[in-house]
Amino acid sequence: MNTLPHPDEYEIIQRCLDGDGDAYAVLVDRYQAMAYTAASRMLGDADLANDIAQESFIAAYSGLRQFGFRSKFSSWLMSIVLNKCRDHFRAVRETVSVDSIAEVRATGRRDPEQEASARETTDAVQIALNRLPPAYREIIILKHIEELDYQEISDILGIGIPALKVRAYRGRELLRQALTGTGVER
Amino acid sequence: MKSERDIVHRLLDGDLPAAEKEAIVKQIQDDPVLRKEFDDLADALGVVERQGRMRPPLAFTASVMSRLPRRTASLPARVRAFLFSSRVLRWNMATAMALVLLTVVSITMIKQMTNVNQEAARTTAAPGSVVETVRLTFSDPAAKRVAVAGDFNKWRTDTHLMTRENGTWTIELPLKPGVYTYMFIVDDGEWVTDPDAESYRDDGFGYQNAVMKVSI
Repeated sequence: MNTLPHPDEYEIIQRCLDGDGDAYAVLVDRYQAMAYTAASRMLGDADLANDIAQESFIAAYSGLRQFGFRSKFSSWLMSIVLNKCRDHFRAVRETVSVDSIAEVRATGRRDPEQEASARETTDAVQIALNRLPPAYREIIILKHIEELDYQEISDILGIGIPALKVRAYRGRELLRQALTGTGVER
Repeated sequence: MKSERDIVHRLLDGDLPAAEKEAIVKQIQDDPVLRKEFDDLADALGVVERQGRMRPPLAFTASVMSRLPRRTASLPARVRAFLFSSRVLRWNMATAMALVLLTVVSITMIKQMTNVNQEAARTTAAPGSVVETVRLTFSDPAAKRVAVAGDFNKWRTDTHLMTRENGTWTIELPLKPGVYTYMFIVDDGEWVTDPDAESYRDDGFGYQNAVMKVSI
């Protein structure tokens, strides 16, 4: 899934900047699965992921003048999606009581509602991902679902490659532990 | 155990040089502990990787597009679009005939206005723009060179040389209407007042300048 930028992206973005908003539909079609999957795996909630992914596309459109083609559009979009997920976690953390946080830490679960939702859909992978701290979820998504190389992940997260490898190491270990006992067939 | 895991994770990072990767793969294959460690992690990652990307709702693109803010194009972009956007011209015979009629009438009116303007220019030209030719003559058969200097040439003695015709020196001067003073210069040194001048005016040095009046 780690691909070179499409050759027509410069032209599409230029058309958007020139006022042809309809041209943006090509980029939305092209990257909607990437954005939705990342948001969904980060948040564990399909409706919320849909909202976050859509808002990310809208934010990217609004900020196209700042994009400047310094990276691939897909990398830039992915960084927006992950930022919005982090904003959501921050907002949720601020509204959850201290007791609830303590309970979550004790049980190793991040969000009981997400956990319940994921169980209903029998998505054992999502249950396991929900048990990972968000920073480890990010690296698992980028490295092992999107299959990006470390340089591109570094561009997206703004973290150096050695630190990313440490994070990937811990993320994989946590994922293995989290999958144990979920009943998922390996 | 820690170092064994390091080896396994380095392979899972997927960015090893070929030779190093080959060596680590062989090391894992030959060591049961390493092999179990690798298989456990690879199985866990395999479960995630097999899930792949998820399918967004069908109306995803339409929903995003309906929520996009209106973007106003920059002025250069609007000018470029105005000038170079392809357009389809729809026409019918009545419109075409009306355009032809409009063109003919416009050309006729422009021609008429041009004629009127030219006529007006001729009749209302400023006096300063009309030039009259004045002929000066001076009789001196013995002179070898005669020039005329005056306020029309800022009293320069080398710009307006007269020509000789049977002992008489002549020159034609294109001058705008007005009053001019002048003198003849004979053989590059002698200043001579025109004996046939219309009138004379003291030059302030004890001589008389000739005066001529040019009118339309």
